[in-house]
Amino acid sequence: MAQENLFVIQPSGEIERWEINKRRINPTQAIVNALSSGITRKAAAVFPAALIDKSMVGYANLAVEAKNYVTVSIPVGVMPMNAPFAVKDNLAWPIFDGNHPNMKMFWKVPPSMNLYLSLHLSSGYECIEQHLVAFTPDKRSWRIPVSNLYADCRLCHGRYASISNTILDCCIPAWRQFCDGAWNSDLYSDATAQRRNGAKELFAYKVNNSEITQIEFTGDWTVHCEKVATEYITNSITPP
Amino acid sequence: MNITIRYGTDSMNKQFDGTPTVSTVLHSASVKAQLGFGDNVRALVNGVALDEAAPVEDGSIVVVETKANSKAV
Repeated sequence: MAQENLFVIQPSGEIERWEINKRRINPTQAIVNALSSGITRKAAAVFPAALIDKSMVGYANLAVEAKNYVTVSIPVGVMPMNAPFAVKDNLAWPIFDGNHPNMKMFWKVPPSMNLYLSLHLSSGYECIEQHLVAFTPDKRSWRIPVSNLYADCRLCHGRYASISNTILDCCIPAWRQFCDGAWNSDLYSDATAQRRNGAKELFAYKVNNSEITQIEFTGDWTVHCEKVATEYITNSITPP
Repeated sequence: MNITIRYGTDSMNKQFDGTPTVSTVLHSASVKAQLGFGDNVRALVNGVALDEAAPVEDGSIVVVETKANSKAV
């Protein structure tokens, strides 16, 4: 056992002497996992998102947990919006129910929104869950008003692709699945009026005889989203 | 009693009279308004989720996080 003295200046200006007794111990792996569960290391701009899909811009971020689980966050600039749409008065918007026809649209993310599709990978590079989280520039996290999204921003888009050899190999099928998947009525039957109205405001398209074009949202998009925070989002998805 | 409450990147300090419970902290109107969370939340102290009846010790950092809802189709 060794003893060490540490002098600490507290924010109040008081100076303390800490007498630390050091003892080497051999905890079980379960205890190590529990003690280190909150330790996550982040790295920004690990690879260009264009490696996943040539149309993508920006860079993927990475977070590594103590147990070697990895979160890779892919910036979403244009989100596929394959969903049931309502059309009325030259306006179309996703309504996420089973009574309207599906339309395959694309939604350009507002410039002030940083939207990430995050893959949570086990140490063996198996995708165990996915999240879709929007961030304001001040790094607050938000749940956008789509269906198939749990309150903690976990995606519900069916089973994920099996184990891959590399992180990039995990991203490519996950992005393809995200693009091909449909937004249906799952997790939306109990949606609040604010959420339904938010979908109409954020994801609105102008319809005329020859084309359907997105009405780009220029206001404060957070009023149509729900503020969300979990330790996982804060530690692993929030951009560094 | 001085408690620090954190919700995502936002945090605040609040004085409570006596020892508050988790429920007191989570249902405080001023805390909810300042940090911007609703009713679908839970509280963690040192990474452990606490029951709403659990007391919160002086100087604790209470991390509030959004609860995962169950699947409603």
